[in-house]
Amino acid sequence: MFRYIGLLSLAITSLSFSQDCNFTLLGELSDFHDGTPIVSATIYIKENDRYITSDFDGKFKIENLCKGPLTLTISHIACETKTVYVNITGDTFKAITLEHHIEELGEVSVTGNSTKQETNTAQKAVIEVNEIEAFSSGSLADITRTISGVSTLNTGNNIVKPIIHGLHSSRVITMQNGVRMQDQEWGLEHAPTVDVNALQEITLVKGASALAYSGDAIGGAIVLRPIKAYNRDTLVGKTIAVYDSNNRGYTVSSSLFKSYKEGWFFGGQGTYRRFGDSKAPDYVLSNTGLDFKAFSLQSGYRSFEESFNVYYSYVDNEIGILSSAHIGGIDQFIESIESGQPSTIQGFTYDIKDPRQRIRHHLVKAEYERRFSNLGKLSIQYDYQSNQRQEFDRRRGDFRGVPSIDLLLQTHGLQTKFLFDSNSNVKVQAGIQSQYQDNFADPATGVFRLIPDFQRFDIGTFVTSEWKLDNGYLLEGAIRYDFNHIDAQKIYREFRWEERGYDQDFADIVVDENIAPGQLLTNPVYDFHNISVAIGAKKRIDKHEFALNYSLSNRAPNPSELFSDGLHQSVARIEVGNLRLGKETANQLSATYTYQNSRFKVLVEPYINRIDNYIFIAPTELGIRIIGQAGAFLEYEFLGTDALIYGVDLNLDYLLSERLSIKNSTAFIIGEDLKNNEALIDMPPLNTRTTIQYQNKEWNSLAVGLTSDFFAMQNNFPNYNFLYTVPSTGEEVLVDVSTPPQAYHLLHFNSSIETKLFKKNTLEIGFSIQNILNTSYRNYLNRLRFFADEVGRNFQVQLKFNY
Amino acid sequence: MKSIFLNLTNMKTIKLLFLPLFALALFSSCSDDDDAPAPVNPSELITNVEVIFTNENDPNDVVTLSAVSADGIVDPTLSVSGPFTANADYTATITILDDVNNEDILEEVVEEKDEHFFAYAVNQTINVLDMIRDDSIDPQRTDGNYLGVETAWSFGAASTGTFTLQLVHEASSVDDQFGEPFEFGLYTGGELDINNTWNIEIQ
Repeated sequence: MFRYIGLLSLAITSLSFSQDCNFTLLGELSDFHDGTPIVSATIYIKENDRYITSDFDGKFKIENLCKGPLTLTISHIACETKTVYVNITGDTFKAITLEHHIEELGEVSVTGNSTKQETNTAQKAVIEVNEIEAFSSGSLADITRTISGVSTLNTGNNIVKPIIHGLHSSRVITMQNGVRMQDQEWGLEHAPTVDVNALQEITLVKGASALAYSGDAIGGAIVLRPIKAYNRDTLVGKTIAVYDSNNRGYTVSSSLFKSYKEGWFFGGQGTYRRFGDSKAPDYVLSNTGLDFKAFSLQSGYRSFEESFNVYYSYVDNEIGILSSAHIGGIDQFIESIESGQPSTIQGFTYDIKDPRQRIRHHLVKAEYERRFSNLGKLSIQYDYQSNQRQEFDRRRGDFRGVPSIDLLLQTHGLQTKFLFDSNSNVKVQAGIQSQYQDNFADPATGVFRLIPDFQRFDIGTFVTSEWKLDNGYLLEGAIRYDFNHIDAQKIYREFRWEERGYDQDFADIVVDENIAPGQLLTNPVYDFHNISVAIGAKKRIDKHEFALNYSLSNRAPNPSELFSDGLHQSVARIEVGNLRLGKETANQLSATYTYQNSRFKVLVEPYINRIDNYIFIAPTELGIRIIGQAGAFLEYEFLGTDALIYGVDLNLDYLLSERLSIKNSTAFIIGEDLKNNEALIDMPPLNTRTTIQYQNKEWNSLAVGLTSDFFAMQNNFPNYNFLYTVPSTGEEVLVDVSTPPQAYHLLHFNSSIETKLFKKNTLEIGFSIQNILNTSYRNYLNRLRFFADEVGRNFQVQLKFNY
Repeated sequence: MKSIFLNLTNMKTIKLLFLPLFALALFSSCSDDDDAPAPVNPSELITNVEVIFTNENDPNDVVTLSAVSADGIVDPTLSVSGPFTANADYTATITILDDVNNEDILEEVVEEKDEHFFAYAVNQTINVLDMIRDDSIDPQRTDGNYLGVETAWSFGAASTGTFTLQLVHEASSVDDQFGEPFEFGLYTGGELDINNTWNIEIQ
């Protein structure tokens, strides 16, 4: 590594000896996305300390140049600032593309560069701020769901997590401002702790190719970039207010950023959101309110050579869980399925009662970056996260109001990266990341710990590279090594320990055979060494673009998969971990074909993913377990198998006229359990979404759209149904925990106009309707689908004020 | 020859790249607490449930239905002390204990009677004629319904069948007068803290 860097720098510097100074550089600036010329951009020539501007065709000319390196910093009002190195060895022509960021005027390169880390040859999608704002009262997963191939895993209507190509939870990582979110994402009912109003851009990488972030994101990565300060002397802000009729919910979010010419910047943003009970078409969904508070602060300094920034964000989220899902055992579960409606229906209220969740997440980040001319950029980052998760069930006596689950997960991370970008045709990035994590499960809950105390160390190192070849090919290659060490202190109940045969296979991890009556303390320790690889190629031929990407990745089982043990009262089921699980190994191949002309764009993304030791949760063989006097409960356990997941995502975009467009996105996926020769559980069904949109810039930027959303019934599902004899009646009943709900079709409407209020301020007014026809339906990937219908019609009014 | 890369500042910089390695050593050295986690003393356990019937005309004719779960978690052992007398009237009362923490759970249930309700059921084969909640001693909820701790039962001709006791917690509504046929007490919502079924006999 050192030798390589040394040679590279020698090669570059040795060229700067001769002193011919009569060369000319001809440059051409164009938009990265559509190739249009960028007019009147400012080009700063660092070596000469001179400014020039590009002409009407986006061209510029620099004469009388000496042999040697040249550093150009190009800025434009509507683009991200970019720094380019050119090695002058003769008269040179250089084409430079810039990225448009309409809302975020002229962000400086030092932070802008971080957006380009995501892989180019893999399937990815970018959601910009104006699309994010449309979901101001929604969740992160509601936004990512608009991308084909991405669906959601719900626990009710307020706990929503993204599924990418059938994979979710620990297989999908969330990068928040360069920090990997550690918010107990392992749990099925743990949604990402993110305020979408703090985001400027969301990039979603499908598959495991973004190795600069992690080697275990088998499903993909969601990269969030927060709203950032401008680089000029400005004070800017915006306020968004939203009212939703269905849950009588209101959301207010404001942000304000100040920056100085000298390079200092400060900013802050805050959101308050309050929902009452949602309504299904036929009844109130009792206790589904939400109380969400979040804010973030940032500050820093940046110059051309170096920059540093500190960032702090806090989210406090209290979520009501549907009352009727908090039931006793299987007898009530059967009643709920048979009656087809919730057992508890009360009048609308804003009150959030038990069962509920409360999550508090702090994120602190400090980052320093330094640019070395002719070499690249070094960045060092430290981050700390604290995530406290409390889950409250209905309890009795002294334990009323005491959480049943109280976990505190603290994570320290340190990472360094070096980006070698002095050669515009070859980009190499190398880095090291380390992390220490501590989980504490509070015993004061008076309930057996669902997740034990554990400590975890991780270290990862990676090299990613990108090569632009002369024949138009773009090649990517990346390799990564990760080491994970998990050291847990788990108390087992004797019956569970023996029933799972752990007394035979894991006798050596027992520390104290009788830490309490009927309880034994164990110390499970796991070490995982993982190598991940990603390679890809992309080539454009005229209007066609082809990309192919292969990746090998591994994921260590998470604490919930290994150690879970107990009753999840809020979904009325017992979940049992599995100490015998190994790491998942995924081999995936994905391809992207794009055709684009001035009116029509088609994007086809097929993929195939083979995962060995694929971990999933499914009902146990018996299906039930009797808990004390309360009777039988559903019992689920974590299992491993070999899985094959394949499918295709399709996007069509057609411009009927200048103002009228039609768009379709469709996703189809199949999951196979290769060991048991049946379908995989919880795979998203076929879905297709079509939008017709009318836009007229002359009429106050009027936009009106109609969307049709169709979800087929999932016909490929494993059968875990079982027979159960109801003790009180002696009747034998088939408990159907497997059959997915019927297909459904939803219609949505959206509209917006924009008016100028004062010289620089704009007001945007939006009105939309979700589920126009007030359709009653249930969603296969909602864990509460056994208890209630989904949310019905909603009218939404949104005001957005830019200042 | 001047090489930017070989100057001192840059060498320092490259060393910085390996900072996370040292940090990891630091993490591991100062965080190694091997303190055993405190065992959780399970709360809100119900270990023993009894329904005690006494013949109104013969205080020595007592039938006890009991369910014992040693730690409140394992499958309870159900037992019935003997058969009921045909065509007799019985009064019944309930005991609920947490033997692990030595607590009288029934006391808590009565204290929080507005959040609790007992429902009873028998199957079709047993000749149970009627049940009433004894309004002179049974605790009454604020909504007017009787809790169902103290009850009176009329048994018919000799037969066998099942008897079910349920304790529902935080039901959204209850009705002590109605139920499906063979059910005594109706509830919607809530969750069952006790749900036991015994095989009984009338002789």
